[in-house]
Amino acid sequence: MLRTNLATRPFYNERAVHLVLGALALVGLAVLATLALRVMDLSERNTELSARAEQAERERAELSARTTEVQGGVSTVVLEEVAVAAREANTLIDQRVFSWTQFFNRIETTLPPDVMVTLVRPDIAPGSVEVTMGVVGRDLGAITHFIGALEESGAFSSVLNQTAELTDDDMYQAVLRGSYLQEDGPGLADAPEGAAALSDRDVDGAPESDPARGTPDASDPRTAQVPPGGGACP
Amino acid sequence: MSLYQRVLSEKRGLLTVVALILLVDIGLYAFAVYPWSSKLAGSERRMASASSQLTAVTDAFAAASEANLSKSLANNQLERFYGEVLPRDLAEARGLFSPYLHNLAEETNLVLERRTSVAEKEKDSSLASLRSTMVLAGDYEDIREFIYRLETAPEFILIESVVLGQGNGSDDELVLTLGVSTYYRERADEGA
Repeated sequence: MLRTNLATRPFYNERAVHLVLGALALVGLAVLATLALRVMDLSERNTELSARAEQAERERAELSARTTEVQGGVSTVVLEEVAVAAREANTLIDQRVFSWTQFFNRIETTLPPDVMVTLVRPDIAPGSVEVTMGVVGRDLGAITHFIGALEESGAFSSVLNQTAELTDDDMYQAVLRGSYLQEDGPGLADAPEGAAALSDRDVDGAPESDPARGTPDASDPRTAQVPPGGGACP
Repeated sequence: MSLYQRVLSEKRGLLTVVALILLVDIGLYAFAVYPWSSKLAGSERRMASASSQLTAVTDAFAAASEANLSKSLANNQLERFYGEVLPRDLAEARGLFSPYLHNLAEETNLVLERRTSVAEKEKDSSLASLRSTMVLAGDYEDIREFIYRLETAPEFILIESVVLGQGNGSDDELVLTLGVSTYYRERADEGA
């Protein structure tokens, strides 16, 4: 038996080499295709995004110019003037809708027989009505009782007897001041931009015929029982 | 010659093709994919910036438009208030106090004992006021009727203060000192 290898080129597995190189080539081609597709996709997206950005920038420039134009027509000074005028008008309207009839009705239900109301002066501001009342009573206890009754009625709060003095008639004269809570009071909104609050109000000025406010019908002054100043005091 | 060198030598053509394919892959990534990715990131940043700027400008435009609309609305309301609700001038305001208040006092059985009036320009305002203090005598019921009719009348008269006192006449008679006011827009030619 011949045991010597007489081949000039020793054997190796060429098929395996071809297989490895073929696989590498296939992978390389697949990567190439993927990269090519990715480039196309990136290019497309970039073009689209650039176009959208340009469109947004154009819109911004256009809108910016229009904003400047609109802002030019509404200067801060003019806006402030309008806001001040609107606040003033609102305050006047609030004063106009203050119901004296309702106020007297509520006073009459709380006025003790030995106290007399001599002066009423409301200070109406946006959101609050402070009322100053001059009263005359037989003694300080009666006036204190009146203050308690006012607060208990829910119509007043934080009532303070600011001054009290004995008169020549041996009566006590006092000045009371407190917050008056209207049942359907003036609008509380200020006029921040000059328009909203005014437009919410009844620009006609005259109070509406609302029974809850003590205006017509329900609060006919002839229904009054105890006149301030017409009580027991001389 | 080792087996490895022999394979390289014998399969040089095939190996070159594979190497070229891989080189093209690397080149494509380095010179196309990477730059385009960077470009796209830049475009996305530009788009985000443009979007946020557009939103800001849109908000500013909306605010300016709203302010403009508010101003127009307020101006219209104010013009209506000045022109239709308040007296137009001092003469019209005067007419509200006399004869209107005089007639109202008579209709409610009150006696007008004294009246003082003063017109003045309101500070920092285009309005001027006409204030009047009226001293009226009568029964409490009539005083309430007078106030009731005054506050429900369409005329723009504000009651500023009410002072009640005992009259000198009958026991039932009271004296009402009433502070009233009205406002009108002062024209430039009217002066102070």
